[in-house]
Amino acid sequence: MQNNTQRSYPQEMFSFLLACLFFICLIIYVIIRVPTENFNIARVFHYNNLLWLGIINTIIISLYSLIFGLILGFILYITRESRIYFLKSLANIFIELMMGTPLVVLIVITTFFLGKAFSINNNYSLGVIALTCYIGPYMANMLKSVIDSIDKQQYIIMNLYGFTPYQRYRYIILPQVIRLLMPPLMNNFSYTIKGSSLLSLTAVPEIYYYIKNIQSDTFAYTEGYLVLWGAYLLLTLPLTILTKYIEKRYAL
Amino acid sequence: MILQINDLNMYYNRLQVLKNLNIELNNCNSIAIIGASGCGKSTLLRLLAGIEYPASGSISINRLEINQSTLRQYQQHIGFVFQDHNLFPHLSLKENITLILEKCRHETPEFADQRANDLLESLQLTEQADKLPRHVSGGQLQRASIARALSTDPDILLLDEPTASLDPILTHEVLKSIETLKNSGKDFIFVTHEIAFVQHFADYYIFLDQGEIIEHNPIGALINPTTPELTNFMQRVSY
Repeated sequence: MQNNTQRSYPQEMFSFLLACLFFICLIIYVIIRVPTENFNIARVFHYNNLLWLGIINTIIISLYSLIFGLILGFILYITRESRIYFLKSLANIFIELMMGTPLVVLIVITTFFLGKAFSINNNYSLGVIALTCYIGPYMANMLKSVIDSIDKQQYIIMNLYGFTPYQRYRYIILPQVIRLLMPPLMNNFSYTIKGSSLLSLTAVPEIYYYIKNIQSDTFAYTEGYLVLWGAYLLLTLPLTILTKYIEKRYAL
Repeated sequence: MILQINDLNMYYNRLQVLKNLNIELNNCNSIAIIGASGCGKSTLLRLLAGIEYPASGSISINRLEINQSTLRQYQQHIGFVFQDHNLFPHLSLKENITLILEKCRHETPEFADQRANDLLESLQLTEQADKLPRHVSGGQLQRASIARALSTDPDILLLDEPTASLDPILTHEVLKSIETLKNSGKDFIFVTHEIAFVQHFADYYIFLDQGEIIEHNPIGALINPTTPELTNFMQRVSY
Protein backbone atom coordinates (compact mmCIF):
# COMPACT_ATOMS: atom_id res chain seq x y z
CA MET A 1 0.00 0.00 0.00
CA GLN A 2 2.64 2.45 1.13
CA ASN A 3 4.94 1.60 -1.78
CA ASN A 4 2.27 2.46 -4.32
CA THR A 5 1.82 5.95 -2.94
CA GLN A 6 5.52 6.73 -2.73
CA ARG A 7 6.86 8.49 -5.80
CA SER A 8 10.41 9.27 -6.73
CA TYR A 9 11.66 12.83 -6.36
CA PRO A 10 12.24 13.63 -10.10
CA GLN A 11 8.78 12.30 -10.93
CA GLU A 12 7.22 14.51 -8.26
CA MET A 13 9.21 17.53 -9.42
CA PHE A 14 8.13 16.97 -13.02
CA SER A 15 4.46 16.82 -12.04
CA PHE A 16 4.88 19.96 -9.96
CA LEU A 17 6.47 21.88 -12.85
CA LEU A 18 3.72 20.63 -15.16
CA ALA A 19 1.12 22.03 -12.78
CA CYS A 20 2.99 25.36 -12.68
CA LEU A 21 3.02 25.38 -16.46
CA PHE A 22 -0.76 24.92 -16.46
CA PHE A 23 -1.28 28.06 -14.40
CA ILE A 24 1.26 30.05 -16.46
CA CYS A 25 -0.59 29.07 -19.65
CA LEU A 26 -3.85 30.15 -18.06
CA ILE A 27 -2.38 33.55 -17.19
CA ILE A 28 -0.89 33.99 -20.67
CA TYR A 29 -4.27 33.15 -22.19
CA VAL A 30 -5.97 35.77 -20.08
CA ILE A 31 -3.31 38.37 -20.99
CA ILE A 32 -3.73 37.65 -24.70
CA ARG A 33 -7.52 37.88 -24.53
CA VAL A 34 -7.70 41.10 -22.52
CA PRO A 35 -6.86 44.45 -24.23
CA THR A 36 -3.79 45.87 -22.49
CA GLU A 37 -2.97 49.08 -24.32
CA ASN A 38 -3.43 51.20 -21.17
CA PHE A 39 -1.88 48.61 -18.88
CA ASN A 40 1.23 49.93 -17.19
CA ILE A 41 2.19 48.30 -13.94
CA ALA A 42 5.28 50.51 -13.61
CA ARG A 43 3.02 53.35 -12.56
CA VAL A 44 2.28 51.48 -9.34
CA PHE A 45 5.88 50.49 -8.73
CA HIS A 46 6.80 54.13 -9.02
CA TYR A 47 5.59 54.33 -5.40
CA ASN A 48 7.59 51.40 -4.14
CA ASN A 49 8.57 53.14 -0.89
CA LEU A 50 4.91 53.25 0.07
CA LEU A 51 4.43 49.65 -1.01
CA TRP A 52 7.20 48.42 1.26
CA LEU A 53 5.92 50.50 4.13
CA GLY A 54 2.48 48.98 3.60
CA ILE A 55 3.85 45.44 3.49
CA ILE A 56 5.83 46.01 6.69
CA ASN A 57 2.77 47.43 8.44
CA THR A 58 0.68 44.50 7.26
CA ILE A 59 3.26 42.07 8.65
CA ILE A 60 3.39 43.90 11.99
CA ILE A 61 -0.41 44.07 12.32
CA SER A 62 -0.78 40.41 11.38
CA LEU A 63 1.93 39.29 13.79
CA TYR A 64 0.40 41.22 16.69
CA SER A 65 -3.06 39.90 15.82
CA LEU A 66 -1.78 36.34 15.56
CA ILE A 67 0.01 36.47 18.91
CA PHE A 68 -2.86 38.18 20.73
CA GLY A 69 -5.34 35.95 18.88
CA LEU A 70 -3.51 32.87 20.08
CA ILE A 71 -3.50 34.18 23.65
CA LEU A 72 -7.19 35.08 23.42
CA GLY A 73 -7.90 31.66 21.87
CA PHE A 74 -6.12 29.91 24.75
CA ILE A 75 -8.06 31.98 27.31
CA LEU A 76 -11.32 31.17 25.52
CA TYR A 77 -10.38 27.49 25.39
CA ILE A 78 -9.58 27.41 29.11
CA THR A 79 -12.71 29.32 30.12
CA ARG A 80 -14.93 27.20 27.89
CA GLU A 81 -13.55 24.07 29.56
CA SER A 82 -14.00 25.69 32.97
CA ARG A 83 -16.35 24.22 35.55
CA ILE A 84 -17.60 27.69 36.47
CA TYR A 85 -20.72 28.04 34.39
CA PHE A 86 -20.57 31.83 34.28
CA LEU A 87 -17.10 31.82 32.67
CA LYS A 88 -18.11 29.04 30.32
CA SER A 89 -21.14 31.06 29.20
CA LEU A 90 -19.06 34.20 28.71
CA ALA A 91 -16.70 32.33 26.41
CA ASN A 92 -19.50 30.58 24.54
CA ILE A 93 -21.44 33.78 23.91
CA PHE A 94 -18.31 35.58 22.73
CA ILE A 95 -17.35 32.74 20.39
CA GLU A 96 -20.82 32.41 18.88
CA LEU A 97 -21.09 36.16 18.44
CA MET A 98 -17.70 36.45 16.73
CA MET A 99 -18.23 33.40 14.53
CA GLY A 100 -21.29 35.07 13.04
CA THR A 101 -19.76 38.51 12.57
CA PRO A 102 -18.24 39.54 9.22
CA LEU A 103 -14.79 41.03 9.71
CA VAL A 104 -15.83 44.24 7.98
CA VAL A 105 -18.61 44.83 10.50
CA LEU A 106 -16.34 43.94 13.39
CA ILE A 107 -13.71 46.47 12.29
CA VAL A 108 -16.28 49.24 11.91
CA ILE A 109 -17.88 48.48 15.29
CA THR A 110 -14.53 48.28 17.04
CA THR A 111 -13.27 51.53 15.57
CA PHE A 112 -16.38 53.70 15.66
CA PHE A 113 -18.19 52.36 18.72
CA LEU A 114 -15.84 50.51 21.06
CA GLY A 115 -12.99 52.91 20.32
CA LYS A 116 -15.17 55.88 21.25
CA ALA A 117 -16.69 54.13 24.26
CA PHE A 118 -13.32 53.19 25.74
CA SER A 119 -11.56 56.34 24.46
CA ILE A 120 -9.02 54.55 22.29
CA ASN A 121 -8.25 56.80 19.34
CA ASN A 122 -5.49 54.88 17.66
CA ASN A 123 -6.97 53.12 14.61
CA TYR A 124 -3.89 50.96 14.34
CA SER A 125 -4.45 49.42 17.80
CA LEU A 126 -8.19 49.23 17.24
CA GLY A 127 -7.52 47.30 14.04
CA VAL A 128 -5.34 44.84 15.91
CA ILE A 129 -8.07 44.46 18.54
CA ALA A 130 -10.69 43.76 15.86
CA LEU A 131 -8.50 41.17 14.14
CA THR A 132 -7.64 39.58 17.48
CA CYS A 133 -11.31 39.25 18.42
CA TYR A 134 -12.05 37.87 14.98
CA ILE A 135 -9.36 35.21 14.97
CA GLY A 136 -9.50 34.30 18.71
CA PRO A 137 -12.56 32.00 18.47
CA TYR A 138 -10.98 30.15 15.53
CA MET A 139 -7.86 29.70 17.64
CA ALA A 140 -9.99 28.39 20.52
CA ASN A 141 -11.67 25.84 18.24
CA MET A 142 -8.33 24.84 16.80
CA LEU A 143 -6.88 24.27 20.28
CA LYS A 144 -9.95 22.30 21.32
CA SER A 145 -9.91 19.95 18.35
CA VAL A 146 -6.17 19.37 18.61
CA ILE A 147 -6.05 18.87 22.39
CA ASP A 148 -9.10 16.59 22.25
CA SER A 149 -7.12 14.30 19.98
CA ILE A 150 -5.05 13.20 22.98
CA ASP A 151 -6.17 9.85 24.35
CA LYS A 152 -8.29 10.23 27.51
CA GLN A 153 -6.36 7.49 29.28
CA GLN A 154 -3.24 9.61 29.16
CA TYR A 155 -5.03 11.99 31.52
CA ILE A 156 -5.74 9.09 33.87
CA ILE A 157 -2.02 8.30 33.87
CA MET A 158 -1.18 11.96 34.53
CA ASN A 159 -3.67 12.02 37.43
CA LEU A 160 -2.26 8.80 38.80
CA TYR A 161 1.26 10.19 38.92
CA GLY A 162 0.15 13.65 40.01
CA PHE A 163 1.31 15.84 37.12
CA THR A 164 0.81 19.55 37.80
CA PRO A 165 -1.16 21.53 35.17
CA TYR A 166 2.06 23.11 33.95
CA GLN A 167 3.78 19.72 33.63
CA ARG A 168 0.80 18.33 31.71
CA TYR A 169 0.99 21.02 29.04
CA ARG A 170 4.76 21.31 28.96
CA TYR A 171 5.78 17.66 28.83
CA ILE A 172 2.79 15.71 27.55
CA ILE A 173 0.20 17.78 25.71
CA LEU A 174 2.23 20.44 23.89
CA PRO A 175 4.88 18.13 22.41
CA GLN A 176 2.13 15.90 21.03
CA VAL A 177 -0.01 18.65 19.56
CA ILE A 178 2.59 20.99 18.07
CA ARG A 179 2.75 19.04 14.82
CA LEU A 180 -1.05 18.87 14.56
CA LEU A 181 -1.29 22.53 15.49
CA MET A 182 0.90 23.88 12.68
CA PRO A 183 -1.43 23.55 9.65
CA PRO A 184 -4.51 25.18 11.25
CA LEU A 185 -2.30 27.79 12.91
CA MET A 186 -0.81 28.79 9.58
CA ASN A 187 -4.29 28.80 8.02
CA ASN A 188 -5.41 31.21 10.68
CA PHE A 189 -2.33 33.31 10.10
CA SER A 190 -3.06 33.62 6.41
CA TYR A 191 -6.70 34.53 7.22
CA THR A 192 -5.33 37.24 9.48
CA ILE A 193 -2.97 38.57 6.83
CA LYS A 194 -5.68 38.69 4.19
CA GLY A 195 -8.26 40.00 6.66
CA SER A 196 -5.99 42.89 7.57
CA SER A 197 -6.68 44.36 4.11
CA LEU A 198 -10.10 45.43 5.43
CA LEU A 199 -8.40 47.73 7.93
CA SER A 200 -7.90 50.13 5.00
CA LEU A 201 -11.54 51.08 5.69
CA THR A 202 -10.50 52.83 8.87
CA ALA A 203 -7.35 54.32 7.35
CA VAL A 204 -4.89 51.98 9.00
CA PRO A 205 -1.72 52.38 6.89
CA GLU A 206 -1.40 48.81 5.67
CA ILE A 207 -0.73 47.67 2.13
CA TYR A 208 -4.25 47.95 0.72
CA TYR A 209 -4.59 51.47 2.14
CA TYR A 210 -1.49 52.60 0.24
CA ILE A 211 -2.57 50.78 -2.89
CA LYS A 212 -5.91 52.62 -2.75
CA ASN A 213 -4.07 55.93 -2.47
CA ILE A 214 -1.79 55.03 -5.35
CA GLN A 215 -4.81 53.99 -7.38
CA SER A 216 -6.56 57.28 -6.93
CA ASP A 217 -3.33 59.13 -7.73
CA THR A 218 -2.54 57.26 -10.93
CA PHE A 219 -5.87 55.77 -12.00
CA ALA A 220 -4.00 52.48 -12.37
CA TYR A 221 -6.80 50.47 -10.74
CA THR A 222 -6.32 47.01 -12.24
CA GLU A 223 -2.56 47.26 -11.92
CA GLY A 224 -2.96 48.21 -8.27
CA TYR A 225 -4.96 45.10 -7.54
CA LEU A 226 -2.44 42.90 -9.30
CA VAL A 227 0.37 44.35 -7.23
CA LEU A 228 -1.75 43.86 -4.12
CA TRP A 229 -2.29 40.24 -5.08
CA GLY A 230 1.45 39.78 -5.55
CA ALA A 231 2.14 41.39 -2.17
CA TYR A 232 -0.21 39.02 -0.32
CA LEU A 233 1.24 36.01 -2.11
CA LEU A 234 4.68 37.22 -1.10
CA LEU A 235 3.51 37.07 2.52
CA THR A 236 1.49 33.84 2.49
CA LEU A 237 3.57 31.50 0.32
CA PRO A 238 6.61 31.48 2.66
CA LEU A 239 4.20 30.52 5.46
CA THR A 240 3.09 27.44 3.57
CA ILE A 241 6.71 26.41 3.09
CA LEU A 242 7.46 27.06 6.76
CA THR A 243 4.47 24.92 7.80
CA LYS A 244 5.66 22.00 5.67
CA TYR A 245 9.10 22.29 7.22
CA ILE A 246 7.82 22.36 10.82
CA GLU A 247 5.50 19.43 10.16
CA LYS A 248 8.46 17.41 8.90
CA ARG A 249 10.64 18.52 11.78
CA TYR A 250 8.13 17.35 14.41
CA ALA A 251 6.92 14.27 12.53
CA LEU A 252 6.56 11.25 14.85
CA MET B 1 -1.76 -6.82 51.75
CA ILE B 2 -4.86 -6.22 53.77
CA LEU B 3 -7.94 -5.49 51.69
CA GLN B 4 -11.27 -4.37 53.09
CA ILE B 5 -14.32 -3.55 51.01
CA ASN B 6 -17.54 -2.49 52.71
CA ASP B 7 -20.95 -2.18 51.05
CA LEU B 8 -19.44 -1.02 47.78
CA ASN B 9 -21.88 0.15 45.11
CA MET B 10 -21.13 1.64 41.72
CA TYR B 11 -23.37 2.94 38.95
CA TYR B 12 -22.78 4.07 35.39
CA ASN B 13 -25.72 6.35 34.74
CA ARG B 14 -28.61 4.22 36.02
CA LEU B 15 -26.88 0.89 35.51
CA GLN B 16 -25.65 -0.70 38.69
CA VAL B 17 -22.33 -2.31 37.85
CA LEU B 18 -21.24 -3.29 41.36
CA LYS B 19 -23.79 -4.46 43.90
CA ASN B 20 -23.07 -4.28 47.59
CA LEU B 21 -19.60 -5.83 47.64
CA ASN B 22 -18.16 -6.89 50.96
CA ILE B 23 -14.86 -8.59 51.47
CA GLU B 24 -12.07 -8.74 54.01
CA LEU B 25 -8.73 -10.30 53.18
CA ASN B 26 -5.56 -10.50 55.21
CA ASN B 27 -2.13 -11.53 54.08
CA CYS B 28 -2.73 -11.97 50.40
CA ASN B 29 0.12 -11.31 48.00
CA SER B 30 -1.65 -11.77 44.77
CA ILE B 31 -5.39 -11.44 44.19
CA ALA B 32 -7.02 -12.36 40.89
CA ILE B 33 -10.38 -10.85 39.96
CA ILE B 34 -12.10 -13.14 37.49
CA GLY B 35 -15.46 -13.27 35.75
CA ALA B 36 -17.14 -12.97 32.38
CA SER B 37 -16.95 -9.76 30.33
CA GLY B 38 -19.12 -7.00 31.72
CA CYS B 39 -19.29 -8.46 35.23
CA GLY B 40 -17.71 -5.34 36.72
CA LYS B 41 -14.19 -6.60 37.35
CA SER B 42 -12.41 -3.76 35.56
CA THR B 43 -14.63 -1.28 37.39
CA LEU B 44 -13.67 -2.84 40.71
CA LEU B 45 -9.99 -2.55 39.81
CA ARG B 46 -10.40 1.10 38.83
CA LEU B 47 -12.09 1.78 42.15
CA LEU B 48 -9.23 0.01 43.91
CA ALA B 49 -6.79 2.29 42.11
CA GLY B 50 -8.76 5.42 43.00
CA ILE B 51 -9.22 6.26 39.30
CA GLU B 52 -12.96 6.35 39.91
CA TYR B 53 -14.95 6.92 43.07
CA PRO B 54 -17.63 4.54 44.31
CA ALA B 55 -21.25 5.68 44.56
CA SER B 56 -21.34 4.38 48.11
CA GLY B 57 -19.30 2.18 50.41
CA SER B 58 -15.63 2.20 51.22
CA ILE B 59 -12.39 0.54 50.28
CA SER B 60 -9.32 0.35 52.44
CA ILE B 61 -6.04 -1.17 51.51
CA ASN B 62 -3.39 -1.80 54.18
CA ARG B 63 -5.69 -0.02 56.63
CA LEU B 64 -5.70 3.17 54.56
CA GLU B 65 -9.17 4.18 53.42
CA ILE B 66 -9.23 5.52 49.88
CA ASN B 67 -10.98 8.88 49.73
CA GLN B 68 -10.40 12.40 48.44
CA SER B 69 -7.95 13.31 51.16
CA THR B 70 -5.87 10.15 51.14
CA LEU B 71 -5.94 9.60 47.40
CA ARG B 72 -2.66 11.34 46.57
CA GLN B 73 -0.86 9.58 49.38
CA TYR B 74 -2.37 6.24 48.36
CA GLN B 75 -1.59 6.61 44.67
CA GLN B 76 2.07 7.18 45.51
CA HIS B 77 2.17 3.55 46.54
CA ILE B 78 0.48 1.86 43.62
CA GLY B 79 1.32 1.10 40.03
CA PHE B 80 -1.34 0.56 37.37
CA VAL B 81 -1.07 -1.30 34.07
CA PHE B 82 -3.89 -0.81 31.58
CA GLN B 83 -5.30 -3.18 29.02
CA ASP B 84 -3.79 -1.00 26.30
CA HIS B 85 -0.31 0.11 27.12
CA ASN B 86 -0.97 3.87 27.54
CA LEU B 87 2.62 4.95 27.21
CA PHE B 88 3.03 8.57 26.18
CA PRO B 89 3.37 8.23 22.39
CA HIS B 90 5.88 11.03 21.86
CA LEU B 91 8.42 9.70 24.37
CA SER B 92 10.73 6.71 24.04
CA LEU B 93 10.16 3.75 26.36
CA LYS B 94 12.95 4.99 28.59
CA GLU B 95 11.77 8.61 28.62
CA ASN B 96 8.32 7.36 29.62
CA ILE B 97 9.93 6.13 32.82
CA THR B 98 12.47 8.89 33.46
CA LEU B 99 9.95 11.72 32.92
CA ILE B 100 7.72 10.44 35.72
CA LEU B 101 10.65 9.84 38.07
CA GLU B 102 12.19 13.24 37.44
CA LYS B 103 9.12 15.45 37.27
CA CYS B 104 6.61 13.73 39.53
CA ARG B 105 8.88 12.02 42.03
CA HIS B 106 11.62 14.67 41.89
CA GLU B 107 14.47 12.18 41.54
CA THR B 108 17.79 13.24 40.05
CA PRO B 109 18.28 12.59 36.31
CA GLU B 110 21.11 10.15 37.11
CA PHE B 111 18.93 8.14 39.47
CA ALA B 112 16.04 8.12 36.99
CA ASP B 113 18.32 7.03 34.19
CA GLN B 114 19.82 4.22 36.26
CA ARG B 115 16.43 3.02 37.47
CA ALA B 116 14.96 3.05 33.95
CA ASN B 117 17.92 1.08 32.63
CA ASP B 118 17.65 -1.50 35.40
CA LEU B 119 13.92 -1.97 34.93
CA LEU B 120 14.09 -2.18 31.16
CA GLU B 121 16.89 -4.68 31.45
CA SER B 122 14.97 -6.84 33.90
CA LEU B 123 12.07 -6.89 31.44
CA GLN B 124 14.40 -7.60 28.48
CA LEU B 125 13.79 -4.26 26.83
CA THR B 126 17.31 -2.82 26.75
CA GLU B 127 17.41 -2.86 22.95
CA GLN B 128 14.07 -1.08 22.69
CA ALA B 129 14.82 1.54 25.34
CA ASP B 130 15.26 4.44 22.94
CA LYS B 131 12.47 3.52 20.54
CA LEU B 132 9.13 5.27 20.38
CA PRO B 133 6.08 3.24 21.46
CA ARG B 134 4.81 2.96 17.89
CA HIS B 135 8.01 1.26 16.79
CA VAL B 136 7.86 -1.73 19.15
CA SER B 137 5.57 -4.77 19.41
CA GLY B 138 2.45 -5.05 21.55
CA GLY B 139 4.15 -7.37 24.02
CA GLN B 140 7.11 -5.04 24.39
CA LEU B 141 4.76 -2.12 24.94
CA GLN B 142 2.92 -3.97 27.65
CA ARG B 143 6.21 -4.94 29.33
CA ALA B 144 7.37 -1.33 29.08
CA SER B 145 4.21 -0.16 30.81
CA ILE B 146 4.81 -2.73 33.52
CA ALA B 147 8.31 -1.26 33.83
CA ARG B 148 6.82 2.21 34.12
CA ALA B 149 4.34 1.07 36.75
CA LEU B 150 7.22 -0.48 38.72
CA SER B 151 9.48 2.55 38.35
CA THR B 152 8.04 4.39 41.34
CA ASP B 153 8.62 1.29 43.47
CA PRO B 154 4.94 0.74 44.35
CA ASP B 155 3.80 -1.57 47.12
CA ILE B 156 0.88 -2.80 45.05
CA LEU B 157 0.71 -3.38 41.34
CA LEU B 158 -2.73 -3.36 39.72
CA LEU B 159 -3.06 -4.93 36.29
CA ASP B 160 -6.21 -4.56 34.20
CA GLU B 161 -6.26 -7.39 31.65
CA PRO B 162 -2.65 -6.74 30.67
CA THR B 163 -2.76 -9.35 27.92
CA ALA B 164 -6.25 -8.84 26.50
CA SER B 165 -5.08 -7.15 23.32
CA LEU B 166 -2.18 -9.53 22.63
CA ASP B 167 -1.83 -12.72 20.60
CA PRO B 168 -0.96 -15.98 22.44
CA ILE B 169 2.79 -15.69 21.90
CA LEU B 170 2.97 -12.11 23.16
CA THR B 171 0.60 -13.03 26.01
CA HIS B 172 3.03 -15.72 27.10
CA GLU B 173 5.91 -13.22 26.85
CA VAL B 174 4.12 -10.71 29.12
CA LEU B 175 2.88 -13.27 31.64
CA LYS B 176 6.39 -14.67 31.94
CA SER B 177 7.67 -11.21 32.80
CA ILE B 178 4.98 -10.78 35.44
CA GLU B 179 5.96 -14.13 36.93
CA THR B 180 9.51 -12.95 37.46
CA LEU B 181 8.08 -10.23 39.71
CA LYS B 182 6.45 -12.71 42.02
CA ASN B 183 9.34 -12.80 44.45
CA SER B 184 9.95 -9.07 44.36
CA GLY B 185 7.98 -8.54 47.58
CA LYS B 186 5.23 -6.60 45.84
CA ASP B 187 1.52 -7.28 46.08
CA PHE B 188 -0.61 -7.80 43.01
CA ILE B 189 -4.25 -7.32 42.18
CA PHE B 190 -5.09 -8.27 38.63
CA VAL B 191 -7.94 -8.84 36.25
CA THR B 192 -7.39 -11.42 33.57
CA HIS B 193 -9.02 -14.05 31.38
CA GLU B 194 -5.96 -16.32 31.50
CA ILE B 195 -7.23 -18.90 34.00
CA ALA B 196 -4.09 -21.03 33.74
CA PHE B 197 -2.07 -18.00 34.76
CA VAL B 198 -4.42 -17.26 37.64
CA GLN B 199 -4.01 -20.78 39.00
CA HIS B 200 -0.28 -20.51 38.69
CA PHE B 201 0.30 -16.99 39.97
CA ALA B 202 -2.50 -15.86 42.26
CA ASP B 203 -2.95 -16.99 45.85
CA TYR B 204 -6.53 -15.77 46.12
CA TYR B 205 -9.37 -15.25 43.68
CA ILE B 206 -12.50 -13.12 43.66
CA PHE B 207 -15.17 -14.30 41.24
CA LEU B 208 -17.66 -11.66 40.10
CA ASP B 209 -20.86 -12.26 38.23
CA GLN B 210 -23.19 -9.43 37.18
CA GLY B 211 -21.68 -7.05 39.69
CA GLU B 212 -21.81 -9.36 42.68
CA ILE B 213 -19.12 -11.35 44.43
CA ILE B 214 -20.20 -14.95 44.00
CA GLU B 215 -17.13 -16.63 45.43
CA HIS B 216 -13.83 -15.64 46.96
CA ASN B 217 -11.40 -18.23 48.14
CA PRO B 218 -7.76 -19.21 48.28
CA ILE B 219 -6.67 -20.28 44.81
CA GLY B 220 -6.78 -24.02 45.54
CA ALA B 221 -10.56 -23.91 45.58
CA LEU B 222 -10.73 -22.76 41.98
CA ILE B 223 -10.63 -26.29 40.60
CA ASN B 224 -13.57 -27.34 42.80
CA PRO B 225 -16.11 -24.54 42.48
CA THR B 226 -18.93 -24.60 45.01
CA THR B 227 -21.36 -22.33 43.17
CA PRO B 228 -23.12 -23.09 39.88
CA GLU B 229 -22.03 -19.70 38.45
CA LEU B 230 -18.33 -20.40 38.88
CA THR B 231 -18.77 -24.02 37.72
CA ASN B 232 -20.40 -22.69 34.59
CA PHE B 233 -17.67 -20.06 34.13
CA MET B 234 -14.85 -22.57 34.56
CA GLN B 235 -16.47 -24.91 32.05
CA ARG B 236 -16.70 -22.11 29.53
CA VAL B 237 -13.10 -20.93 29.88
CA SER B 238 -11.56 -24.42 29.64
CA TYR B 239 -12.00 -26.80 26.75
